[in-house]
Amino acid sequence: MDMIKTRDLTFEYIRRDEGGNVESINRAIDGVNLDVKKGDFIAILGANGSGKSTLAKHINALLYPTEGAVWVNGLNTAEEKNLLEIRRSAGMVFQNPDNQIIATVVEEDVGFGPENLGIPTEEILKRVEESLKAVGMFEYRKQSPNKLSGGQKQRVAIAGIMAMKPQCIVLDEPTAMLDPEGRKEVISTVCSLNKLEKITVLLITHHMDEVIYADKVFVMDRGKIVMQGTPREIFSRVDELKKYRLDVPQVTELAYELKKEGLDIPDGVLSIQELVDALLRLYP
Amino acid sequence: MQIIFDNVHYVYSSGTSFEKHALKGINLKINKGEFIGLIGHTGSGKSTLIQHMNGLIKATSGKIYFNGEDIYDKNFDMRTLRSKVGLVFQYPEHQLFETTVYKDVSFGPKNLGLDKLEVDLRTYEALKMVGIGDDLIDASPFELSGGQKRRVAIAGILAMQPEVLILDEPTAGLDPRGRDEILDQIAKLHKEKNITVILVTHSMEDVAKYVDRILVMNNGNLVMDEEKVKIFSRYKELEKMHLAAPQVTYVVNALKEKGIPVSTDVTTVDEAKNEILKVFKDKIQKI
Repeated sequence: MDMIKTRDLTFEYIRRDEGGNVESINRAIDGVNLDVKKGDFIAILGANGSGKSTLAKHINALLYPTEGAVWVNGLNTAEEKNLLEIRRSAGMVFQNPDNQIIATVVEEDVGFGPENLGIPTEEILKRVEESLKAVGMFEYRKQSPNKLSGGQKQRVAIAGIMAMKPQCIVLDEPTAMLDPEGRKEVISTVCSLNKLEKITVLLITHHMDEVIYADKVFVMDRGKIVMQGTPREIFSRVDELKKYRLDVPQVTELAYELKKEGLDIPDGVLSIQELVDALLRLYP
Repeated sequence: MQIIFDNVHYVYSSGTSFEKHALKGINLKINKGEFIGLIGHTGSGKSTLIQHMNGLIKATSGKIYFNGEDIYDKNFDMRTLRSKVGLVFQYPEHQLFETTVYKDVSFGPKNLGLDKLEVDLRTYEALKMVGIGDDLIDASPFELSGGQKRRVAIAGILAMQPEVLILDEPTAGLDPRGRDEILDQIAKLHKEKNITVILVTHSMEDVAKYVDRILVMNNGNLVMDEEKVKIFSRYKELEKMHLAAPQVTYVVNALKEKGIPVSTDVTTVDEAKNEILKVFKDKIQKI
């Protein structure tokens, strides 16, 4: 079964004047069909305003479709009786870690979610421990979140989601405010949750180099999905990506430029190592 | 020397359990017209440092000079300093508040007590500098896209005609094209108006592409202050400070380690391309 399925999903932001008359309609999502299998790592790219975040908010029923439908784990998000179950199975992580941390001690923050689900104390303690270990923050459990770096705070936020035992995590630009090491920490945490804990991941980002670990990449433009494929397929189409206000990782661009100059280098190079290997093969 | 820091220390919440030594004896000289990158991990003291530059935070000890004048002298005019050193905070679009783009950008110059004509001139010029066309002048700032909002917010600072422009993470959360547009415009401004620019960022690729000199902060200390090529050649030290070099710098270093005679003074895609083609020129297949 699909973890996430959307059919002809359309969403319109409707603005009304004081009298309740419609002033303007902005179609943020326009007929999106998405199939995400359990255990997949999906990345979504797209310019500002292309509809990525609006799409993400449909997956844990923060928004409902204007037309079409969304199913999470087989449950239709438009049906109110499914809400609790959907929000429990699809957790969300946002851009700014400071807006997501509420407690004064790390372990209390992680325990907040399961506590609200009415889970027995023994079980909460167990989940807090497991979640903090899964994101590599167990040794900080007694600390104040204020003292943590941006990457560490974001990992605590992810642990807070993990403690609710979700099947799917949606991350909306989780690294936009982090330094290079913080970004690396968060992305490798997300990768290991996907590989080891089999959590379905949906990562929204503007950092092209974070996308290379995904199984599949979707590119959005003006509410529509305009490209999809593996990272290698997507990043082979450099000119098309630039048309959608996007980019490729720096090393992919260098490989592309060298190929254009006539060097025999494969398409869609994703990592430093791949490019170095390709160049070494050319060198006698 | 436009800005001088002489042994500047800053301690937050002194005497409480939250006491933090955020700046530890900073010595720094910045010349007019420089384009400087400021990098460092979260909490390294970058934001504290730049807030000293326009007097938003007062040093616990040490001296700061602007154009030769001691900014802590009782006769020094702090108001002038704040109009000459423009500080663009993170997510500056959160500070937009007026009903039209024009009103928002003209708010600063109006408060300087300038006459209507001068306010108009500065507002239109600032908007032009950030690439916002006349068609948007009467729009509500809240109807604009993320990248446009941010450019309007930057225009509000530029309308004050600062001599120094400091930008704290100006591209966070923008798509790649939006990022390039803003940085290209700032680079153009720097070139045409000879404004001193200080760019605070977590993107090593952006720093490499635009700046000449890089300052590296670590735990409240200014640990490196050199031209960018020299900074990124010390990438192993940078990694220990939660930073990194651009990807292309790693590529040339890896090639060099394998015995290929490339120069490792490379920080941008163009530089890397030229350097690699020099060595691989006889491998080029004519298509």
